[in-house]
Amino acid sequence: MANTVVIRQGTGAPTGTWATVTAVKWNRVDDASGTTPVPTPTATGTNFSFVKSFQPDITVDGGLTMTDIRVGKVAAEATGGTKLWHRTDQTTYVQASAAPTATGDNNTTAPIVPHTLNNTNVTALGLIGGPPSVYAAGPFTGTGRKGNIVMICLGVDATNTTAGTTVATPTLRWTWTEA
Amino acid sequence: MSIIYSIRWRLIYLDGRYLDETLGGSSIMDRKPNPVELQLINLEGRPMQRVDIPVGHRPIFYRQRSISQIPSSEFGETQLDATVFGYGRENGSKVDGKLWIWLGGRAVNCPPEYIAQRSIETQLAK
Repeated sequence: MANTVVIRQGTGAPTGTWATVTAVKWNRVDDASGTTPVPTPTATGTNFSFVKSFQPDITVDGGLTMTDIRVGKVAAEATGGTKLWHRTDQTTYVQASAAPTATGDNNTTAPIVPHTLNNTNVTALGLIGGPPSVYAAGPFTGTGRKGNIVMICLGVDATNTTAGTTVATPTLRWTWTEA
Repeated sequence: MSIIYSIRWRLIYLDGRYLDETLGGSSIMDRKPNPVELQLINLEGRPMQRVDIPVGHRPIFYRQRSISQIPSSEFGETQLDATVFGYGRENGSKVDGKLWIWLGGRAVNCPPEYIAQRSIETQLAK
């Protein structure tokens, strides 16, 4: 039987409260639904949302082994001046308490996300249909959160012209093998 | 036909749910370079009985659906006519992990590879 899997988002400190999410806003608050906006820079540069931390979680063990977890966006960013950034090489959670420092170009320089205070291994989120590289090979069995922490944030640069409402951004998708 | 053993299939779960069956015509084909992906569409809990037919035996067609128009160039064959005729569970609860296709006059049990997925929607707070 297939495993039952949900996506969890970690918020709070120190180890996080990991709630199931089916929708997330790129905001400037440490939760999934807050509407504190990400301001558009008035000159060349990029402002970032808070970094969101995700993990897939096997909630019902169907007896299958999970391997080869990937994460990506279903489609490219359709809203000008926005770009999804991600990092998948960390195994420990750090609460998002502030947005990454703004950069001086339009979504070219990767943001500095938590953990090591650098932007090493922070890259644009690829299309899931690519497919992107496996970030957690496994094998994973049993219940619980699996794989590295997936940290994602959205950069809003000076070319963005949306305002005043929530703007749809790409759907995030995790894929893995069960056998 | 040695080509039958080069076919891989993937059973894709939609948002973590079973894809019980429905091998619905052309919609199941995701035409990419090898390996071929068969996307089985979820019909919400209509389990199929196991169809266990040894290779080379005459199959008892069960919920026959055609995988049409597989580009032959992807297989290096001039003709490839695959018909999915069985995908099943045991005891109505366990997936037996077998997809049987009727290919080139033979019944073939393709090795299982389940690809599951889960998605979340996102918005920008502005």
